[in-house]
Amino acid sequence: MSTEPGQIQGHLEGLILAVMVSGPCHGYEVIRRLTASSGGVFDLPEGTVYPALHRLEKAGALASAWQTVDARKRRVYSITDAGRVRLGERRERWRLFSGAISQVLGAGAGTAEAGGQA
Amino acid sequence: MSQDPITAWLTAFDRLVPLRGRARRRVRAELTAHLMDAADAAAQKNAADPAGEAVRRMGDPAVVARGFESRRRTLAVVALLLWLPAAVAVTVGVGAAYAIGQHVLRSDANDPQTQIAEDAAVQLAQGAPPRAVVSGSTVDLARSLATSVTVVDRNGDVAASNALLNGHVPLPPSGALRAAGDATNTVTWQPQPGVRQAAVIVSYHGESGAGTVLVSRSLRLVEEREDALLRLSALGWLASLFAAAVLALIAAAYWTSTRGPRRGLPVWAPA
Repeated sequence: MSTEPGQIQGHLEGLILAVMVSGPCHGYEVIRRLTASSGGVFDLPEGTVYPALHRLEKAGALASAWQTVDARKRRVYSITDAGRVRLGERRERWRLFSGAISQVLGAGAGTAEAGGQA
Repeated sequence: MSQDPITAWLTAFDRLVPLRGRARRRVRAELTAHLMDAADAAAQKNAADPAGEAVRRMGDPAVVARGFESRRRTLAVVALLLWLPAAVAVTVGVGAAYAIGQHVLRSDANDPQTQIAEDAAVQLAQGAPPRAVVSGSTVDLARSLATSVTVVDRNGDVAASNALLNGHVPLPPSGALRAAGDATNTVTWQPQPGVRQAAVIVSYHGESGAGTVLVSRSLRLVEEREDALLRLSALGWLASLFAAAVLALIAAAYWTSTRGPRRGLPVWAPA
């Protein structure tokens, strides 16, 4: 099972906020967490996560500071209270959206099955 | 000498990213650390080309750089690009409308003089005395809006006139009279500063003599109408520019939300 390119478009910021809940991390670690938590399904061009991180920081959803991690200077991001609120909104939106999709696709599958049995 | 993949990627990104100063340095430092982490990770997995692998995973530097474009800046640029041609079209359109309006106003200002001058020229050519084509009441060119008539003989002397300015019968430059020739010469004549006349000069040739008929009237009302037309045109021009700017902003906002700088971001490839 794999995703199609662009399928996740529009959800990256929510996904980043979600992986930030487990603790502060730098950009490279964000990618690793996203790949790990998706079971390896998501394999994105890694550079694209940085514009999203910067936008989230600008929006006040993330805070960041330079830290030296493993002898390398990195920008470490952490989720803010506003970011948690935003994440809650994203989750709610996703719940509604995915529920509606499941309902439609599920109903279609049921009809197809019923048609096949008839 | 060819650059290593990481330096080449960062150079390409530097060239494309729309950031300046501290923001640019910060992003570059983050991406450098990321590429080195990725190269280290690839080396640990015994990749043949760890730096190349890190760069490949990072993605197209152009796509990453485009992600940093400010939506507001893009909106402003797109709106400006849409507005400029519209502004040029509006300016040309309003300018042409004003020019046509002014031309019509100015042309209409000559109509009574043309009729009077041509009629007078016919009468003079048929032998009527100059005094007969000039009405009795004096017209003060500095104050009156009435039409004045002056008949000038072939020597350039005033044969009859009801026009008066500062106690004298004013005449346009002799060249303006000569230019009438066998045709009609219409000129804007300014006998003194602040006194502008729409003048029509027609020559006549008859058995009893030849000369020119000069008929003129004040341009004051016409110029007042021209000023009003100019004010209306300027107002219409500004309103059109404003409306075009609003429409350009709406179109730019629509464009940036559907095909803006972050289009294709993030592009997730199948695992």
